[in-house]
Amino acid sequence: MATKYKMRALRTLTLSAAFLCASMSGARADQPPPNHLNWTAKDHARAADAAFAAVPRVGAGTSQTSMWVQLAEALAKSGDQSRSGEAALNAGSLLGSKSNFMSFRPRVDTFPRWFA
Amino acid sequence: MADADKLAAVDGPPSDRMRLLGMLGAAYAKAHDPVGVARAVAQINAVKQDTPVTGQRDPRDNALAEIGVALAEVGAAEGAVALAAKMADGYYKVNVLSHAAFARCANGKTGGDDAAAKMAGVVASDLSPDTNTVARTSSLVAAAAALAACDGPETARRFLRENWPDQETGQALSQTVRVLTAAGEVSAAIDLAPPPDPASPDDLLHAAQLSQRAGDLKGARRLALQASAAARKGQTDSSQPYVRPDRIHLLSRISSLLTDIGAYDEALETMQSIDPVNRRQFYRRVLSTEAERHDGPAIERTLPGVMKGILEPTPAPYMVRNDLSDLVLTLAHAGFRKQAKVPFDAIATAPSPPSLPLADPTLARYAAAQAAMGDLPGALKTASAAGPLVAQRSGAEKNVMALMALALSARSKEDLVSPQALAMRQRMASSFPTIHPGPQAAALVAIATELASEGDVAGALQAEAGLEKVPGNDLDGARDTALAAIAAEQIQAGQPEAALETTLRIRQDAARLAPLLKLAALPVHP
Repeated sequence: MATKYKMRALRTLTLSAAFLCASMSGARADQPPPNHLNWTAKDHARAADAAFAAVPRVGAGTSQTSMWVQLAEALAKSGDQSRSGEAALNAGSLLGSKSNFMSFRPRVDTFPRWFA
Repeated sequence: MADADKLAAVDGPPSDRMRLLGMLGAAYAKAHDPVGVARAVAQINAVKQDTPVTGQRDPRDNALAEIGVALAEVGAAEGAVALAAKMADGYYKVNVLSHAAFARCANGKTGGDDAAAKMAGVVASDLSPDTNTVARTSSLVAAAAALAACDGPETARRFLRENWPDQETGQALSQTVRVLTAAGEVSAAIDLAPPPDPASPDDLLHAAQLSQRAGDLKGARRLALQASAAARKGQTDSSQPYVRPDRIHLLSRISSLLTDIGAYDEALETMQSIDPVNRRQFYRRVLSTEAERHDGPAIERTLPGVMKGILEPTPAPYMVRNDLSDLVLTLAHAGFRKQAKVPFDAIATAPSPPSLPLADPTLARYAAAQAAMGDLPGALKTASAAGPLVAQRSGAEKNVMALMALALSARSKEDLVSPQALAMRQRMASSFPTIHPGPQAAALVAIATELASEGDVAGALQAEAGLEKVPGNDLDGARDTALAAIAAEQIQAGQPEAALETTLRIRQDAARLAPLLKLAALPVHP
């Protein structure tokens, strides 16, 4: 794989990994108060399963990498570290896909607000 | 955390590795993780460069500066200063020091005479004049900004006078003001800014923007009105509207600022000097801002003028009806249904679109406007009358579509007339599906998405049900768009279980993913 693609992919993944680590270890002070009191573990599992099934069927290469990272970030927000890590690893397994790696940037700008 | 470090430990050119580690360290800094920051700094320092690059382009200092600026931005100014001490003299070091100074001097914390700002000044002024000019001037500007934020405008002006060739001091001041503004040091920027040239609309607009950011709305309004007058001064004949894009852009920025600060009448007045077609969007923008802010008196005051502007004849046949429908949606959405009746009633008397062998493209928006006004049966009737649910494209239609697509992407006339272009057009035309959602489907989607966004899930589902009448997948795109809008509203309304059921009805994975990501992010309740 061309080094430049690898570096771009890693840039994306490194930031998202840092994001995940941070999101898992810290308090989420400014999360809106939950208004979905009946959302159960079973519901969460169904939504996560459906998302895991959908991502590989949408896009390829970079766009799919970005979707796995988005899913990993979403699951990290829910507190589901295990499946979040699984999605992040799926993103990592796509290393080497070509083109357009720069189209997605993990939202590192949200760090300070999360940890205020 | 170890996973992130592992990801950063890759083979690659040393400069790329350092850059990557710099970004990782900055991410740790923003996550308030000093251990992660220290590890990233140590890893950057451990990277061996095959051909060491030092000075202004040193990738090591570039990476360290990324971390230093991030530290300063999250308030860890001491950490940023300590990091700067390990860097070679140059722009990167000055940049970190100036950000540390901003953090320390914000809201008068140090009471002036800040060590980081002083150090930034010393490093920048000691840079040899032989140093790359861009790096040197950027260093001087960054240091001047730090001094302005900490020690006041006089110190910064003196610093620039002493270190910058006389003839360019004005330019240096402007650059420094922009650096301060970007860093959020607005009051320091205002103190330092030279008085705007009363003949320059750009200068006046910039000064108005500074005042707005500082919360001085009265001053912002005064300066924006001066900018507006200066911008229109060159117009010798008021019957000849401006059509030049650069002039329209300038007036648009002034008008947007006036809209933002609530000077709606003046915002509209500013746009009177441009051509009527381009002017229409500003009527919609002003009304939309008023509606978002639930400013009833402003809506009452500006609505007659807005209506007059929107009802002006245009060369585009559908524009008036579509704009009126948009006004209805904007007002009804914000709860101003009584006021929305004014544009809604005007649709009935607006000029009819010319009779063409095509579906009326204003009907979908009109149906959505009817739904927004509470007339769902009427909206569904409009949808039925719009045309078939599923339509077929003729070969001629496909050819026209292909020609339009080609024309939009062509770089020259040859791109349109060459034999290759003909072959491409034929290939493109044959790739368009023959069966596609018809005008009735478009209207039903518009109704469903409008009602969903207003929180009327039952009404939205009723409209969506109309899209289920056709077996097969021909309407998948339309129904999935409607269902995704309904699911989004259900999530917003705190009904994720219902949203999940709606989402699982979506057939196309791409449309399904957006609500699924929102649902996957919800914490579980035990």
